[in-house]
Amino acid sequence: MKTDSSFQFYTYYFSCSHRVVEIHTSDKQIIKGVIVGFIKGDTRTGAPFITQWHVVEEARQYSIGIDPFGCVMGEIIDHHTIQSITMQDGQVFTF
Amino acid sequence: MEKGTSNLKKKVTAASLLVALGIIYGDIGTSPLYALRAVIGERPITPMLVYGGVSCIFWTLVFQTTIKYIWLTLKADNEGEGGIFSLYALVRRYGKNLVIPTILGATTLLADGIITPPISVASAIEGLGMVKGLENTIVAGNSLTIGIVIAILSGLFFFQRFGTDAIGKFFGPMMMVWFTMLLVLGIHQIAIHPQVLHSLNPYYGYQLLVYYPNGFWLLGAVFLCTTGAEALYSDLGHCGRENIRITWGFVKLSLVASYMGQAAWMLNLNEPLLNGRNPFFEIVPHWFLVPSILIATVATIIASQALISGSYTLISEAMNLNFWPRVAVRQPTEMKGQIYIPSVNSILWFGCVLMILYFKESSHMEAAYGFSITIAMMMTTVLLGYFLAYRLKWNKALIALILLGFATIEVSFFIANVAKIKERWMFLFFELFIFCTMYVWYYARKINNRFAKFVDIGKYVTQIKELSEDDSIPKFSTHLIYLSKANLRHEIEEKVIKSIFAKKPKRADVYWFVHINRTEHPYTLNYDVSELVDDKIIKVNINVGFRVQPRTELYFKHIVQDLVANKELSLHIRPDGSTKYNAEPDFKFVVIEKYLSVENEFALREGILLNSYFFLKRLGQRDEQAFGLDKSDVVVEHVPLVYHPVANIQLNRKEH
Repeated sequence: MKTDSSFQFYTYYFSCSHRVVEIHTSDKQIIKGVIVGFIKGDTRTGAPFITQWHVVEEARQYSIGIDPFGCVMGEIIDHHTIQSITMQDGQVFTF
Repeated sequence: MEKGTSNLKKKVTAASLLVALGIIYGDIGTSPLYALRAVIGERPITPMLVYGGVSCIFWTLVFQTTIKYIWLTLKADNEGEGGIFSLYALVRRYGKNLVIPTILGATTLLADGIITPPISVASAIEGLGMVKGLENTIVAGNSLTIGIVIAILSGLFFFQRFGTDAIGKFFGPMMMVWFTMLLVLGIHQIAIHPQVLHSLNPYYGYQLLVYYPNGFWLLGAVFLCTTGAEALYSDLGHCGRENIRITWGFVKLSLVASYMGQAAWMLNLNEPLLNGRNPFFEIVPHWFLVPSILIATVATIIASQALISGSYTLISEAMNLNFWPRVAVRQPTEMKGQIYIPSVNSILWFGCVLMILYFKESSHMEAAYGFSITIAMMMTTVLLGYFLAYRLKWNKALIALILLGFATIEVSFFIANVAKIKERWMFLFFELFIFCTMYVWYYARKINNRFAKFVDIGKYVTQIKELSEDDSIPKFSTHLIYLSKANLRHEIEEKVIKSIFAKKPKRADVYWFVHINRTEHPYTLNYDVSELVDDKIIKVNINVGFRVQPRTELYFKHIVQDLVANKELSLHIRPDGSTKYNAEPDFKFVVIEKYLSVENEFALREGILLNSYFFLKRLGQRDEQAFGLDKSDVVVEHVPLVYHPVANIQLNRKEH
């Protein structure tokens, strides 16, 4: 069975203490910040463990990712659009 | 909290065999009342038709009931439980689209089930017309006969709320009497006309299907002899595989004897047509006619009871596997697994009464009965294929051969039964309703879950601790409990964190996050606890089997008692003096209920699915009731769900 890259990254990310990431997406965007939330996929139907990641600036990481008016802060990134993620400790995940 | 049942159920004793007779064979056991009569119908009685009809019935019982269900499908027990949802729970991880055959199978099983009680009870009551003096009073289709059938069925549905454990113990002995009666009456006729034994030769069946004019279409009537086979599998959990297999030998012998006895009587009739007579009662000696009708009536009531209980179980499993909206489920007695679902009871009662009023007599119902069950059986075959391939890991070529054999038989039955659609068009609405409900509920929940965002709870631990100790904020509750879908230790829904901190923060001494995990095993009931912060933030996973009714509050209090007894938790009894008036710990459950926000723009399918889902949700049980929470301990928060907010708003400030 093919290894689920989203699960590998999820396991690594939430076990380490340096949580600032730099995400490179397929449309050449570079997003830097902290992952504050994630949307899980139904793995029984072949979806990845995590389908979307919610990333906000580091300074806003304790803000639940929602501003006082209920609007989403930062960006929600589809897992399949991610090319690579560079962790603060230099570790690079390529998808 | 762990329960083990399957070992007990597998024990074979005289009592367990008797119980199996009473529960399992009601449907298939009462088919002799109408199946052979339906094959003959108004056609001229000829040896080709009679021999061929009995031959087809016998070989259908061999292939479809004995080989497919008794030998093969009963292997697919899920911790002792059977039925299409249990089978689905066993194989769902092996196929992406197994939801559709499961929904179709369950839908058709429920739909044709509405005919089983009226057709069985009507067949038995119509037999009273043969009693001397009642010939002109009890006539199939007249108001009195219809009234008696409706009264019996209404009584049966009315008494469901009280449970069946008191009378259930008589079901086994009564069915024993019924099958013995079939056997004795059948053998008596066979002894008079032993040549009828030739009909066991499959050649007669082949001749009927191929050479008799429109012979193939008689399969629609032949199929009536095996309509109860699917129920054998659904009721597996009540009796255990070995009890079913052993009793089937006796049951099959009785059924075959009855069909052959009826055939023998017809061959010796010396009249060209049946003229509305029921061969089942014609082979009964006159002195035994009234007792035989009484026994038949009781047997049909037992058959109807089995079907009603089976429907409750089916809907209950559908709810627990997220195929059906939450509706009220009651436990009328202490008997394990016995449930009563008022809404299903009302729908079934209404459907059965409508059936008898529409069709009026059992022979008319025969023309509509069986179509849906063929679909249910085909869907079971699809799921069974996955079970044999992935769970039993049988040789692929052997599985292909088995599936090809059953597909040929079932597709033939299906084609022959398609002709019944014109007699049963009204069922299509009912089936469509059940199918759409299951489809909408399942897929809309999937969309819903796609938008459930989770966060790492560890990040908020410090904030939650600070809030808990901040005396400047009024205390919301001593123990604050959130129900969560997050199954992993460090995860929680974003909306839960938002509920704690947003607007007026909710201060509590202990924050609990309770996750109810529906397991693929039917009767699991256990839990595990993770204290993220000692006595402050506690995550509880309660594993509940798909046949267990969730009683969250009860389970939660049990877990708290366990933790206090083990000195793992302080109850934080209120220090404000109120304890002397009420020593009970102060718990508050927060249920976050979603509603569809107006700020959505949908694609067509998603729009229909989600709007239907929220409509059904309003009709069903509220979340707090569904999770078994006491109203006084629950705070319900409403959260708008924004799936696709309206984009590109051009809102300009007007210059003065």
